[in-house]
Amino acid sequence: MKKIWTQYLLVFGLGIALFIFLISMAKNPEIEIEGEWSELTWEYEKADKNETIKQDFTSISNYVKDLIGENLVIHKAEKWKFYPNGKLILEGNGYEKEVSWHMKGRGNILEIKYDNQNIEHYNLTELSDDKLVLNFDTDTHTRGIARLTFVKTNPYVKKI
Amino acid sequence: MLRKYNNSRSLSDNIKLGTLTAFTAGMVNIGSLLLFFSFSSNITGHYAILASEIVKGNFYQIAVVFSWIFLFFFGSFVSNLIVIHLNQKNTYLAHALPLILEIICLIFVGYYGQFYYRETLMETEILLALMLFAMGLQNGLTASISNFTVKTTHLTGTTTDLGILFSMFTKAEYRNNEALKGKAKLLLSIAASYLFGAILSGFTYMYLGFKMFYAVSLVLTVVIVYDLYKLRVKRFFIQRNARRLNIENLGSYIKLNREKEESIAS
Repeated sequence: MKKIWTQYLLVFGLGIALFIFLISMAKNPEIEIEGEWSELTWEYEKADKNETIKQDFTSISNYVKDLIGENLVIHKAEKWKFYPNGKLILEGNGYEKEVSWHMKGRGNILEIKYDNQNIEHYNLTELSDDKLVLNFDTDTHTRGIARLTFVKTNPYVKKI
Repeated sequence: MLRKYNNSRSLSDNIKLGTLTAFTAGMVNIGSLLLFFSFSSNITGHYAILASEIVKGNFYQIAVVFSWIFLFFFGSFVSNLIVIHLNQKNTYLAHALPLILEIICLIFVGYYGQFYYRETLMETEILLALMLFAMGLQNGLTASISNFTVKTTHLTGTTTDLGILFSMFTKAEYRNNEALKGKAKLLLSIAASYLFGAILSGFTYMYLGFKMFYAVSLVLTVVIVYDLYKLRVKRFFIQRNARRLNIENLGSYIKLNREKEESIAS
């Protein structure tokens, strides 16, 4: 009887050890996202192909941003500053807005709350030291999935 | 619902247990999706996510999803451990204890969420872990006491079995088989109840938020109290009959009644 319990404890102990090992190897996405991120591109899976031929990449990105982002709080932002206390400053050309951010799920959902508790959710597809990719479902008149890519321009943000 | 074990359970016992627990599982699963953006009982999905996170090499997500799957497994382990070790001493207690633990977990999630939740990732993951443990407890209990007939936290197996049963019903010999008809009734009631719980959770989420876990706990309390009530009523009638028949050895009379009931059910 004692032997079987020892075996069980060993297996569970191994499971816990594996968990601790993985967690110690990992970077917490909540900490990794902190810092200043600059928008690189806006892409849309159903972007008009003719536009791609006619115009350069930057204007395509802006075209997509105007098309699908008009109803989003992030529309005017070019720089996103994530602070540790759940504050996010969205900065654009003559534009600044303070909103709050949280991570949900297993660290794969970015939730942005603004004004009178309006909430937007973005899928955090990629998060590394210098790259952040967000995906989100667009609204009904431009159905599809949009993708925002950022590069980290400043890993530290001043405390507000 | 709870006091009978394996073959001594009737179809009615399984349907009652299945519908009530599937309803709570549906509510909890959709509640966790709406509040935390992750399922709390969809283990097949978590295995798929674990595989995809391993491919991507996201250690943090691998650890989190691995721990969730492990806690569901551990919930089922604890549940059956309680059942098989306490069953001989007190069947009702052995079957009620996992549900009591589940209620404690869910009330904690509701209470913490309502008063202390600051929406940090760690809190989200711990609360989800508790819910997965609770769902493991529930699924382990229902499967264990019903001889693997009642599983209520996910519907993959249920839908597969229903598909098989309905294909069998194309032949008259199976269509007229009472046991198969009973099984179809049970599975349909589980699926419908789960769906109803999930829809109700979706509609009430905006108004109730974390309070929905109190409602779920209330339903689980009904499962526990129902059997306690039935036990008391049954004991009352047995004692009354024993007095009427002037039976002195009440213990053996109760045992005789239990054996009679088990033989009818089997």
